[in-house]
This record gives sequence, C-alpha cells and structure tokens, in this order.
Amino acid sequence: MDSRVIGIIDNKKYAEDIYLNVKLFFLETGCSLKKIKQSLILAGLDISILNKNYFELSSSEQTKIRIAKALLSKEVHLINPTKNIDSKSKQNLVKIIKLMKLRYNKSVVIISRDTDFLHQVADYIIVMIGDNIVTEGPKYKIFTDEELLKKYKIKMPTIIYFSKLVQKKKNINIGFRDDINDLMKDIYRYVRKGE
Amino acid sequence: MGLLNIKNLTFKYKDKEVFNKLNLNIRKGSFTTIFGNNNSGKTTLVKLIMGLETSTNIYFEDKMINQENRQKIGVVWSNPSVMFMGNTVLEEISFPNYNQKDVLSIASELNIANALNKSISELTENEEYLVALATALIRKPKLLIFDGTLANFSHRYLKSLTKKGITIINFTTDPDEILLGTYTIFLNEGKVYFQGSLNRILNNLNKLEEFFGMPFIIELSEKLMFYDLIDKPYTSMQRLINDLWIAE
Repeated sequence: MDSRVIGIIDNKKYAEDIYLNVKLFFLETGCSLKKIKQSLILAGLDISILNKNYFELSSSEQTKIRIAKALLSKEVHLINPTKNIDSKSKQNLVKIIKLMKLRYNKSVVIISRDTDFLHQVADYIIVMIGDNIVTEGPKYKIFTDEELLKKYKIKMPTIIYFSKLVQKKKNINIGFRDDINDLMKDIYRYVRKGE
Repeated sequence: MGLLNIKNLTFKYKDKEVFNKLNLNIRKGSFTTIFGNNNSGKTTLVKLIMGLETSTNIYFEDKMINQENRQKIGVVWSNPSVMFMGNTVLEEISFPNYNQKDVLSIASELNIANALNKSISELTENEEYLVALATALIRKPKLLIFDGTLANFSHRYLKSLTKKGITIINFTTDPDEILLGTYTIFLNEGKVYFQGSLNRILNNLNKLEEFFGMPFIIELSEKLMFYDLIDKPYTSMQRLINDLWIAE
C-alpha cells in the first residue's frame, strides 16, 4: 500500500484537547518514554517540556506537542499543525511529514487551511464544508483551479500563483511546482532558452 | 513622538527573562509588522500592552499606559473565542454598552450584519475573527493590534483602516506579511534584532536570513540573483515577471 499524505481543507472549528500536564498528554498514547522523547525532539521541542503544565506553554509549544503526539500513531492525524508556528518550524514540519511518508511508510492526514503548507506536503486534497465533501483531487488539480479556489475562498499557494501570473502576463507556460528550487530550475531553463 | 513607546522594558515570566531593557517605538499612522520567531516574546508584549501583565515602561501618546488610555487600543487575539463573553454576535459586539446603530454600522462594514443573531458557538472560524475585529473597531481605536490574526482579513480593508488614521501593529511569524506594512521590527529572543522599511530590509537580507524566514518573492529573487537572471531583489511579483522576460 502506498503511503500518501492527504490534506483536508474545511471550515470547521476544532476544539483543542487540554490536559493538566504534558506527561499525561503523552502517556495516553501508550508509547514508551523513549519513543515519546524521540518524537518531541523531532517536533523541535526540548524533553524538559514533559515536566511542564499545559497552561505554561506558549501557543507554538501547544501546537508542537500535538504534532509530537500525532507522530506516535500509525496513522498520523494533524489538525491545524501550522497554527502559531514560525517559518523555521514550518520547514521542519515539512521535513518530518515527508519522513513519515517516505521512510516510515505512514499515512498522514492533515486538516488545515494553510494551502502553502499543504501544497508542499500533500499528494491529495479534499475540500469539505461542514461534514460534506464538496470536491477532491490530486493537489495540482485542486490548487490550479482558480474558479474552485475562489468559490470556496481558498488561498492559492503562492508558488502556483507565480506560475499563473507568468502565464497571464507573458503567455509563457513554465509549469507548476511545489518546491521553490524546482521552480527556479524551470525559470532558468526557460530564460536561458529564450536568449 | 511615537504613538506607542516602550522604554527599557524588562520582564520575567516565572524564572525566564523575556525582555531585558527593550526599547521600541511605534510611529503614529504607521502599519508596523513586529516579526518574531516562536518564543521571541510577541504574545507577552501584547499582554503587557493590554494590561494582562503589569508594566510601567509602556507609554501611549506620551503618557504611561493605564486602564483609561487603553480604551483607545483594540486587539484581535489569536484565540478570539476564548475572549468572547456574549451569547450572540450582537451581544458580543455591543459589550459593554454600545448602541445598536453603531453595532449595525460596523457589522455591515465587515459583512456580518446578517450574522448578528447567530449564537457565538455556531460561528465558523472566519466569522469568529470578523466578530473579534468588530469588537475591536467599535471602540474607535487609535491603535489596532493583531496577534497573529492578520491573515483572516482582506489587505485592501486593512489599508483602508490606516487611511482612516488608525495605527496598526501586526505581530506575526509569517514572512509574507512583511510586505504589507510600512515598517518592520524583527524580534529575536526578547530583543529588537533589526528594524526598518522594506528597502532597508532588502539591503540587509544576509543578516536577517540567519534567523528569519523571508517572503516567497524575496527568496525567489535571491535564487534568481545567484544565477544572474536579475540584479536586485524584488518585492512585487508583477515587476519581477516583467523584468525577467523582457525579450520574448
């Protein structure tokens, strides 16, 4: 079975689990302390966070412990994992999800409205309103569909928007990418060719 | 002088020092981005400004900040529903005693007039943020603060607020938002690491990239500069595309 990353874009509000202390939050997973510590480090946290109480945590730490906990399951479920986290942590999260998929063969489901992030990590996108799936498809199909995105008020990933703008302004089709380095190569190839 | 002034602010939270003699100035009428990584002290600073934590080193319109002059500051917090006190949208926006006419006016401006009778618990996340903004704007603030929440609102609308004379501070971790304001203050580990206009930022990219992520267009510009396809960083995608394919 091919592991893949599914992104779900919806409009629901999600209540966040709170526990009195962080250790309790993790012990619920039934995982060994060793695995828990590994997961914390992967999520960019210091293991000393285990001794803290939930309410002492900053908003980014709260997001990261949820990520660390999700990584411990066979199927990784992440809800709004990029909420309140900075760009370096986001880059780290992209790496972790790719690791989960490619090295650990885990299926990953992410619920988020952060389309720049989803575009980097997801293979397949499902759009939901309430409990209904309104549309779904491979990410390039969904994220390049201007009318669809406009209809559901979904922000087009910046890297896709760039290629679209080139198409509109210069009538040149440089193709769509999910990585800025690959986009760079496309631009380079094209500009050099035109000289 | 600045609208908001922070002078030599030192603040500890439990045993951890968050700020050590922090100095910060927000000019009246500006749209300032305070950009910081996690744990740089952003939320703590908002709390200090709004009185959720105590400090004597914060000045608003040259007077020490207090219960009274704080009334002229509106905040859109990152978890607005935690702050809500009413049962319906109407109750929430009119709190404590704004009249219906003013409530209707601001609700119409934000396109939530038809949600006034909705229960707070029924709101979508986007509606929540609009209600939070409405409660901040109804008090006719001189200063409007966003704590990581700017992305929920249209840029055009926000710029219209600055045109009306409202000073805006946007606390954020999103590099692309640097392009929205007129001035950016980079916070790192409780200190001002760097500050300046967009031009100044473009001239100091190497220094900033050590600690901070950059907007997509600037990252792309740097890669293009490395391959000699352009000679300076761009902040406008349109202009970059124009200049990149000058000869078709």
